[in-house]
Amino acid sequence: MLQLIRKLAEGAPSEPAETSSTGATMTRRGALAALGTGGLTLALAACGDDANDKTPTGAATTPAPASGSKGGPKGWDGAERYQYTADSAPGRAVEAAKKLKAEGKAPDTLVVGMYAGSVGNYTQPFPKGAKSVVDVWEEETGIKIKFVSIDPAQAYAKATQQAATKDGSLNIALLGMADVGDLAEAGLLLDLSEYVDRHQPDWNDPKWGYAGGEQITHLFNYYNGKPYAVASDGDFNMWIGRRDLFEDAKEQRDFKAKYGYDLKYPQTWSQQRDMAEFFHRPDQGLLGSTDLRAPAWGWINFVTRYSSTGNPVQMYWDDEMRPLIAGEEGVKALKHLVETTKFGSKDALSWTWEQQYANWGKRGAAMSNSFNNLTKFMKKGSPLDPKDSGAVTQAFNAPGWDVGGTIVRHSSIYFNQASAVNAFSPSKYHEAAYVFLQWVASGPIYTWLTANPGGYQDPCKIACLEDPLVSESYTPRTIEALKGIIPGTAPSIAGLAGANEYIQALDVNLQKALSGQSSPEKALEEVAKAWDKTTDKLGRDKQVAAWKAQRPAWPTKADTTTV
Amino acid sequence: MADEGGYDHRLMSGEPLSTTEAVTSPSLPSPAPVAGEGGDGGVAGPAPAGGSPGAARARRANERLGRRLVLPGQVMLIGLVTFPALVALYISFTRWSPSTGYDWYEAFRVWSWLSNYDGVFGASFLSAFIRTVLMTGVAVGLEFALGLGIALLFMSRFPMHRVGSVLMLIPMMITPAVAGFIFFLLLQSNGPVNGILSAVVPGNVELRWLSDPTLAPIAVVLADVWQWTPFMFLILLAGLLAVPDDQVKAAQILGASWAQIFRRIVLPIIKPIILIALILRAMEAFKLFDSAWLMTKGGPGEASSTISVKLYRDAFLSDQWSYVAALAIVVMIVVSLAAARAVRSLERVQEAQT
Amino acid sequence: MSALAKRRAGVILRLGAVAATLVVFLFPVYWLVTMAFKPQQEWAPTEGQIFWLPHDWTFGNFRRIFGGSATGDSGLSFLISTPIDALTPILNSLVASVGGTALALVIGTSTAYGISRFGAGGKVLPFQILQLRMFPPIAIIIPVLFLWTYLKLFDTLPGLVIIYAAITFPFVVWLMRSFFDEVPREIREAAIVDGCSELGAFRKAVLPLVRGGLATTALFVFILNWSDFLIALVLTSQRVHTAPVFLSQIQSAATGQEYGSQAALGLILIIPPVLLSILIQRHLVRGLTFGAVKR
Repeated sequence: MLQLIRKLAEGAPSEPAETSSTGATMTRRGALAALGTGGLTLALAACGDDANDKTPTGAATTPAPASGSKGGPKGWDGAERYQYTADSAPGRAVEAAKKLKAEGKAPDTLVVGMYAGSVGNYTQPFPKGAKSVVDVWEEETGIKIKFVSIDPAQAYAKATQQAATKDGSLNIALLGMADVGDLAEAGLLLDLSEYVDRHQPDWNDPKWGYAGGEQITHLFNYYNGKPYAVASDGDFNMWIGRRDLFEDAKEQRDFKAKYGYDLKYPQTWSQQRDMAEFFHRPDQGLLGSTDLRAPAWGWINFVTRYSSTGNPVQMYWDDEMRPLIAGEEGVKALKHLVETTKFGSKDALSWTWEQQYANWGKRGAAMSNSFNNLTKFMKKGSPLDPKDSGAVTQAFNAPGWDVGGTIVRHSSIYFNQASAVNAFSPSKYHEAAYVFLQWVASGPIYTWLTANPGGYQDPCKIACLEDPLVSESYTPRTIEALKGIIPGTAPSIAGLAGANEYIQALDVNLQKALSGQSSPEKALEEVAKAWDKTTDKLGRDKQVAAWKAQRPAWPTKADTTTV
Repeated sequence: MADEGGYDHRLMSGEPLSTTEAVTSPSLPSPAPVAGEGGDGGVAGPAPAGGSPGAARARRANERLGRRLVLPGQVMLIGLVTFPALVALYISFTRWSPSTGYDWYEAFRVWSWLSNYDGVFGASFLSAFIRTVLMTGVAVGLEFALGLGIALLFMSRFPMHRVGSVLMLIPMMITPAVAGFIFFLLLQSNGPVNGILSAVVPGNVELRWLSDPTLAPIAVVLADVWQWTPFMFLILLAGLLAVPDDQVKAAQILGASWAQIFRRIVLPIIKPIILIALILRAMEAFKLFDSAWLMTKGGPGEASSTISVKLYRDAFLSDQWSYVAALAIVVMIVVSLAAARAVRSLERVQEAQT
Repeated sequence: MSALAKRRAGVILRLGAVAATLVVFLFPVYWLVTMAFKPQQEWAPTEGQIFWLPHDWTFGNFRRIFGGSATGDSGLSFLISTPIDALTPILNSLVASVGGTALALVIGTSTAYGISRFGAGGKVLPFQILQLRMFPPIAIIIPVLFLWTYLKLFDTLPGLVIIYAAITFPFVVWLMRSFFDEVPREIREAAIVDGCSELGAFRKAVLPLVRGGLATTALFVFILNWSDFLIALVLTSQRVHTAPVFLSQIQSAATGQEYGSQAALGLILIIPPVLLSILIQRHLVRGLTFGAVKR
């Protein structure tokens, strides 16, 4: 029976598994690599750290223009943009990998945990006819990569499980930005200081480094002042609106007549509320705003509303880590979140990005929050986009609040996948695992892979925002908007031990408020209580130190970016 | 195998089972015959004690053999009950979690006495406990009522009886995780269940089965009822078929109403079976995890969070392992008490029968 | 005449009720089966239109879960992203379930015979065994996770086999005990008189009589193991994921959950237990009640 189905699956010569012969091979290999689970990927990379002010930037870290002896992808137009010299971060990584391999300090195959939806970033040949990212790595270093898929909803549980069991089967562990503190404390994440010093990643390079600068690098990759992770994603909470609605003359007239001001992409949350109400026409299959509210996904839309309630920014705790969240700012943000729920799907409380994307593709909503990759996947002819919604999607910064006459707007960065060297994996391969991360998260390689529509890893390096392939893939409009959004982004809850415990307490109580089981005031008081309990349990002094250490990652001025 | 484990040809052919074959008095999960001096433990009990030295030696040899036979089982029990219980108890007195950086056996370094038990008797666990008991009660009650109804329907012969009863059993055999996935699909607010309701009820039904705090636990219960009503049906049908026809006929001749017959004749006979079915089902329903996890993950908030879901979430999603250990201890104690009670009441029923 | 008509009406009414019941209870199965053959556009309703039947039947979902492409060569198949292969998880499930069943049978039968024949363990043992079955697995699984780590059984097939055996052996004990209790003492005694040892008598006289029961028990335990989700979720990581865990993780980059592919795997998953349950139908009641109700 199984064999039969298997045959069926392989079968039908009329339907080749992939579009090109290269593709077919890749697919098969990818499938083998993913044996056992699904595959995923992660990405990322590491890069140099100049937080230690060793060798910041300069020509030495910047790949020189393409010439004959460069590493990186080859043989297609534009490949030279992603090539590098031996003295760049990716070049150093490859050289180190070759050396480690020669010394027997690299395994034949590195086993890498990855979100199922990211594996394609690495294994899909891109652009068409080119090699895939891992193919280039394998060719240059002789070290094979095997991806093991991890379900995003289970990723933290899996990482905790690995920590509890000292499971070293993955050379490279997968995590989200919130997990770094706990997993570092748990001993799962290797302190990368030594390797970072030795191999100099380009994390803070002005051209190839993380967008958002050193503070963001710190928030992504550091805990307690030491590098533990290599971020490989850009989950900036972007907003999207429908151009065919917002820029329609009749809609604009009707809106003005009803609300007394012009219809534009909303600058403030109260405008967002009005516009959601205005466009909410469920009988015509149009929802006002589908920003997420589901468990594990929706809390960020509270955080985004909350961060902008203060000038320059509203934080979660004061300097002694006493929660500020239950104050009037928090209540204001949560009331808005609760009130606007009615302008979304009836299933808003269970809609994750899956339903949200599918609905957007059907032109089922006027506004939404979204990951940056929405416009990468909304392409004409895609099953996801039956109505060419991608063409009418405008990205914009999250709305804000009028705080004493200034409109404060902050997007939020959250979730954000990262990779780390699994401290429990065989220690003689630790360095090889690290150099792979440095290579894959280096500016040139990361830019190349993020443009790849085979996976959902999003731009997070400066170079990604200036790259024609990325721009084509994400659409120039989205990239333009991202350039405005990223600098004012406020952190979500991360960089702390217990981050997931804090987030869970927030998440569960937000759900209670959203579903009417609790009032906003009561829900946030419960959050504050739970947070205090966690802080005390983990040691207030230690937590306060970590909290203060992430200050630099917070915006110092009100983001007043308009679209 | 072909004979013993194969099709039940009578059921398959729609022929009612003969009453002698079906149960009249279930042998209960009751304690085994007690070994010992002179004990004649029934058909398969220990050999009667003899007076001669040879018999005594044989008895001792048998006891040894018996102990050896149950040894692997006892090892399993120690590994799966005693060891986990002790570890959980130990951790529950600390604030250990993997993120303390210690191995679990080093948890004494973060000793915290009874602090986790404060939380155990706090609102969150108590409400999860009450919710689980309520969901279990409603689910098992509905399953019993529906199962009994359907069993009565299947009591007499009708065409395709055989096929019908086989089909009726399918839901029970479906992997619970898959059942959860199916109901996740069915209960979307624009999904088929609301679609059907919209066709029968005036207006457009858009019940938010999975995200409304009242409906979500109902949805989880519905999936359970769908999956396990066939269990009740099957067991109750076996019980009903065991009721002697002649008694029922005699009562009919005497002019008893259907309800009287059921209450006076049928019910007393099938009572032990009902009890067994209810207890076993309640036991399983109390553990509910798979389908709830796939349908609602315990949400919205904690509205459909059963004990199992809560334990899983608190340990793996928010790193509160020591608190979960304390909860596990309390759950084990409660379940043990309930198990002891259940076994006692089953014993009583059985004694009353004999 | 009118009595006959009345009886006929009764039969028709009953048939109608049976049919309605079956429709209600089989509809979810129907939904799973059809979903497995629906193309992506039909997984969720479009503009309020629910796809009661697949409009474009496809095997794409099955191809997809075995490493192929769901959409064929549309030029957009890259959007569906990473290939997945459910074959390994299915094989893992199969090996772990069969292995766990075999081990549970050995340990459980031995224990059951010890209890049934020799009264070993007294009153307490059977109760303890039943208790194990009543604990929510999640309450004991975390310490087991530590034990498994220590024993290097975490995320291995042997580890899964042992835990499955441990979780299901109580079931074997209770069920087999009820079968052993039915074997007349005389049969065993006759074998001993013929010169057999105790174990010899067990092998030659008792075992053949409970063969059918043993087979039934085996199939039952297999179904229980095959259905597990939680234990595999906690005690395996990536090397030996089982099919139900894999099912909950199928995801694509662009669209998230893939209902059709999940349904295809779900359909494959429910086939063995449904077929096996028909095989053991005769003993279903006894099995489901831990041997308490014999039939």
